[in-house]
Amino acid sequence: MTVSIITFVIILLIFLSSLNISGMSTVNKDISAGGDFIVKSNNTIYTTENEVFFMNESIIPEIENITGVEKAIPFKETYFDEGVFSYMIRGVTSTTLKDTGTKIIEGKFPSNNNEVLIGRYVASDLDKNTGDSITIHNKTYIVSGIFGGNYQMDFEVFMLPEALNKTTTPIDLEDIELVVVHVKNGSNIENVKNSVEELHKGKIVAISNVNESEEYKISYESINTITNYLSLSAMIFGSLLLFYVMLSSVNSRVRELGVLKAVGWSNNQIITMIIGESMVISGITWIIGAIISVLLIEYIFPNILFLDIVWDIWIFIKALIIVIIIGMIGCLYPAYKSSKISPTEALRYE
Amino acid sequence: MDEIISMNDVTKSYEKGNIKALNGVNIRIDEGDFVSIVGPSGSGKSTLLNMIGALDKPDRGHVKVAGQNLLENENLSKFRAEKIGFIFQLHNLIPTLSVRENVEIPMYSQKIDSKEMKKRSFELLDYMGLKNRANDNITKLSGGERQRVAIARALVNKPSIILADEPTGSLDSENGIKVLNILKKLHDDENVTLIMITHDQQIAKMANHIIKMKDGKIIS
Repeated sequence: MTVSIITFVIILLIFLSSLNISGMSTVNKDISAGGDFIVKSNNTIYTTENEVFFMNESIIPEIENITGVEKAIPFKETYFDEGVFSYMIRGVTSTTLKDTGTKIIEGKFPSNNNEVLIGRYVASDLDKNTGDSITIHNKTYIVSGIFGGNYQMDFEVFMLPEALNKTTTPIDLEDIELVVVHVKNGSNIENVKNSVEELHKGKIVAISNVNESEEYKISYESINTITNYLSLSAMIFGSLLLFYVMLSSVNSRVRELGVLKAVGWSNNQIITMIIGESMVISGITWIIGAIISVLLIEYIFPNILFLDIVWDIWIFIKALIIVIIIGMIGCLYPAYKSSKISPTEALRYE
Repeated sequence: MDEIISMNDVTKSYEKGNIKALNGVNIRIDEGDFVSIVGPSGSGKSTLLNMIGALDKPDRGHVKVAGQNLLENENLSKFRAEKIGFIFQLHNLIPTLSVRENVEIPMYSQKIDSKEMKKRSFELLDYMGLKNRANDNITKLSGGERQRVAIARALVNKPSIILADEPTGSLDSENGIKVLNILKKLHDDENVTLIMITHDQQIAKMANHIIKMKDGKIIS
């Protein structure tokens, strides 16, 4: 049972660490939405009404005039609710589709304002296929196709910009939610990003990875914190469990330990034996835990969490170090106790 | 004959002095001797053996074994590994190990290489008539066979002194005689010093000398 529980601890550690790394990698890949970076308003919940800034069409030529920018693609968006979920609706043309980093995997691009292209995760969530109808803001559309290829946008619905303008949800037609920027070959992306942000200093932000977005960073730091707390709890629990098991083992082998001392084993040899047994348990749990977690990650990440798998050897090394620590903490007192057994008393032990 | 064991005025108490296991014991045992220790239960026989075997230390007095003053020796486990072979009444073999592995246990304290360990253990098991059972688990052996394995374990580090605490106490008469014959043969062939505790007067008479104990004292 001890092996099972500590194995579960290892599986948890490896799975959560991989989730962090793979999740961050997937989002980093998709965050620039097919371009080199995106530009968003820097409005937060703390932005006052006077300071709030909305991008409009005029920002496109501003960005495209910056040295190093090849093109800037604007995207307007709104959202609709289905059950407990909200899905973004984005105005996209057949030309700007590739700028989203997605491609059509089934069906075709909408040919009129009554058709929509849905992301693969929307399709699976709402159980929709090409040709099905979907109701958005009390209007029925036909699903012309399904797209995929960008983790974030695969949760969205695309329609022609004119169709978006006609949705019943009030929308400021001048607002641009997102600009996807492509940088010219040979230009330094960081310099271009800085130049873009200078256009409206403090009001817009250029993002190409998670750490540059407060919104994404908060989510991932939360996951990281939860992972660390779970890891620490798992370590403490694992150590206590192993301590109990090793102590019980020593108590049940008093006579045997007395014999070892009687035939000439030193205290150090007995301590080494107990620590060795603990390390064997730790090693076995690490191997089994690593194998099971690899199998789980191979299935769950792409099929359920829709994440790309990023393998990092340090996750497994970290888990090994943790399991060794658990083994050492768990066996220290039992090893000490075993060395203090008096051989004469031990040999009389029933 | 050289003296191999000497004890001068050795006293040992337990239970905060309420039980006097040894009370001013003086003995001399020569190298190569075969000595039986007899006496009623609680007379101090096992305590005397534990003192000789460096498993315990006296409250008072001196114990010198194989030229070493045990009270001054800081590394008694090493001393036991090199000089002493123990045979217990209940054999005390480790049930999760095989016959050969049990015999090899004392050699781990001497850091002997695995080839030599295997060679010695097989030689001894052959001597005991158990070579074919070397890889069997201990639990598959009879009581007499297990005690022979215990004797092999006691001899594996080539000790100069064998201490046997009621070696036939848990055996039937047939197996008991077999074990005693092995011990006698060992004593005769290898000239080890053999000290044996027994309740049986007939067995005691097999020895060269008999020490009688009562109430922690040697009475003859």
